[in-house]
Amino acid sequence: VSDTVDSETARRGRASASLRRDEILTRVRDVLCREFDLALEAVVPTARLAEDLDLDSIDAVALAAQLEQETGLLLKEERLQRMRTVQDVVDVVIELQGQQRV
Amino acid sequence: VFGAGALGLAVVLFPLCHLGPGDARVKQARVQYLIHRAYRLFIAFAEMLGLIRTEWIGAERLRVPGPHLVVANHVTLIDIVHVISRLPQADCVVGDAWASNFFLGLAASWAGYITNARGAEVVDACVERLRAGRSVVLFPEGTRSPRNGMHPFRRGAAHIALRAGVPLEPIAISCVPSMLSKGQPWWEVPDGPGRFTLRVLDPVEARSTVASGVPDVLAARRLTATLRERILEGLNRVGHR
Repeated sequence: VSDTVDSETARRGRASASLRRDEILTRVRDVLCREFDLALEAVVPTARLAEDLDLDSIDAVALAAQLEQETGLLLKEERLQRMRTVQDVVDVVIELQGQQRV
Repeated sequence: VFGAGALGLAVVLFPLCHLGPGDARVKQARVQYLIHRAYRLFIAFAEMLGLIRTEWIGAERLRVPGPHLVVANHVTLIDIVHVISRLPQADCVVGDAWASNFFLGLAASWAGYITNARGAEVVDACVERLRAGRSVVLFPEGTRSPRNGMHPFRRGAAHIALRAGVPLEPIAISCVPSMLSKGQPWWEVPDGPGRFTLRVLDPVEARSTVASGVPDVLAARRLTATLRERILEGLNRVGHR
């Protein structure tokens, strides 16, 4: 994983369309609040999707679809299943951004 | 008597119903009808022995031709026995513990119950059954209720209702004094009979409860909240808890 993050960091300079880390966090929080009626202050990076935010597996699929629509990235099912916290979602977007927008 | 009856059922009638003529649907309907009759008998016996006393309120709603999407709170091990005793045909969602037991798993698969599925798969399977005109019974708490109150509801039932376009038909179940509840050993029987009250409540219409144009994940949240409130109200009307 650190490999991909490193290469992402290296690419970030070139790929001007890519979003910065804090922008991605803002976007992800925004999507979560809007899609699932959540309070913004509850959606902190350490918040756990299932336990703290009460998302279920159907919500996870809806979240992925919404993120795909907004970022133009392609989220795979197995990546979805490894997301536990809001920060994980941000990390996945950053990672995919590095891989897919070159 | 219970043991012998159950054994008789298991070794003779189930295979007969399963192996008899007909396609899978016919066989499953036959096995489900057998389970229905067996559960009726079970309840009748338990009442005769003074172990339980059962009061149904609004059970006539379940006699209307289906499909029904029945959702209930889950206070005892025999809630499903009560519910199925009033439904000649009903598909259930069976947990892993059941499905992995050889006999129960076999019976569940013969009955066409939904096993080994989670999340979206359960929703897909239930929607398919309802569209085929079959009734489905669900316990949205996912496990038996805590002593006082209910667990949070999972939202699968709401998703199913929204997608299949059928109303949720809630049943508020109470049992006083408590018996066969979660964490209570089955032999810990109260002195008097367990008095069951099963109140079939007004259906919760899926689409009209939620404004149209609301995305499914939000609609399911709101519908689930409405459903849970409806069942809580039903329990309070019963006067118990």
